[in-house]
Amino acid sequence: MNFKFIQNSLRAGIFVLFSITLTANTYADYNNALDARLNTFKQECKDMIRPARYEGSRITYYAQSKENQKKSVEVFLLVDSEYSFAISGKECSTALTIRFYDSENADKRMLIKEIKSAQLLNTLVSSNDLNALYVRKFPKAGRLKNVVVEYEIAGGADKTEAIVLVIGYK
Amino acid sequence: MSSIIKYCMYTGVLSVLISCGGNAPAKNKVNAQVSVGTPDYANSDKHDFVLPQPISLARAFKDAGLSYEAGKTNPVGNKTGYNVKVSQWLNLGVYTTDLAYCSLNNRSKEAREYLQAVQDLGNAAGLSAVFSNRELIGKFEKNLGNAAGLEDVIYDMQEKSESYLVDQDLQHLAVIQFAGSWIEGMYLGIESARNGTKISVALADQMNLLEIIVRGLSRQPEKDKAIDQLIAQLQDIENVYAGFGTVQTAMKTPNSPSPELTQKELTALSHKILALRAEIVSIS
Repeated sequence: MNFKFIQNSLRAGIFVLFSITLTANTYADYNNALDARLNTFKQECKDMIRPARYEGSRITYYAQSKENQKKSVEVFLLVDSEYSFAISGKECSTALTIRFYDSENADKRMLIKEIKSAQLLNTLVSSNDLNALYVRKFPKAGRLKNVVVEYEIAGGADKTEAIVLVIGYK
Repeated sequence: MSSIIKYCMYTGVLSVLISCGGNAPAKNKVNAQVSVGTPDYANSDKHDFVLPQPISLARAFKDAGLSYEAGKTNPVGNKTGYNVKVSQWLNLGVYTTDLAYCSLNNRSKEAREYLQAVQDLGNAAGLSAVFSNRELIGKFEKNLGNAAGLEDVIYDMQEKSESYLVDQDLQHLAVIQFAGSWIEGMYLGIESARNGTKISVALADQMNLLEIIVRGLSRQPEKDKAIDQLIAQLQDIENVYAGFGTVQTAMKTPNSPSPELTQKELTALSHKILALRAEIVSIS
């Protein structure tokens, strides 16, 4: 009886261990595949900003949920020159709206530009265009010295996805 | 019992096979053209940021009229005196700004010395994979005397450094380095402003970065007394600046351009910046 009990417990233990290993490997494989795709999209964005110099990048990861969600990245435009923003929504499977604001402060900020249906696409935006729109909306303003790029991601399947942003300046 | 042993063997072999079958992690490809690193797959921060390259700090000051003044940068001889991790990363940032400052002003001899200092301190801080790159050094040597060429090489170097840190999941260290770069840039700007250059608007522009630097430093994964102290000092600068009349007036109007600081405000800001910079570059 005791021997049978030990035998069954060992079997169950090994099965659980095996399942954990399998799950962990599947998860790692998914993340590695995601990494590989994001590498490609980041390189595409880098190619898009040329001949601008590479100023920085950010990959925004998010876990898909049933609800819409918002994430933002603040970027500083220190040099009085043209900046390029290359954004890859190729890893985003649900509706993606990109908005450019002049501040992170939700009470004071001004919407400068909105791009709808940016999912599954690469998008390129120039700070010259943003500045022109900004001055039109707010004539007293100087040039933009920081920009907040906001992503609004529609709810969808339960999985991890990401949006790539690469910044360059000429 | 023998069936259990068999089961164990099958499971073990299968697990090993599965483990070996996965894709090679991209994060280990140090010299990969592009790397995305080990992210928090669950979620990035709701409000994230991208810090500018240190050379962009120097470029902004240069465009505002900052000219080269000998003897202002942190002496390269100090590089062996930074033995604590935080101090190494801060001074790596300081030397990176000094390198940019010399390069943008076409000071080839000094730029070469600062490149060596950045390499040595970078190696000490664990960035040898970036700074032992012979191709990069060769490109730098080739462009000595050509300010635009040197600028390109420094951007290239910073891109590789950023890639490496992302690869190794060490991005939090880049914020410490950036804090050093920022304080050195502000110091050089203030020194220039004291000599009559009108770059106080550029100083005010760069003050906008302080909040982000503090936020980045606060997110360090390990508690460190030196970092906590640095955060407190930077917040002190932030508070002094926020109390300036010109700054408060500018803040009343949304989206207004950066203010031009008065001489009194500039002096108050100078005291804080110079004291912190002196502390950062002092050798142990």
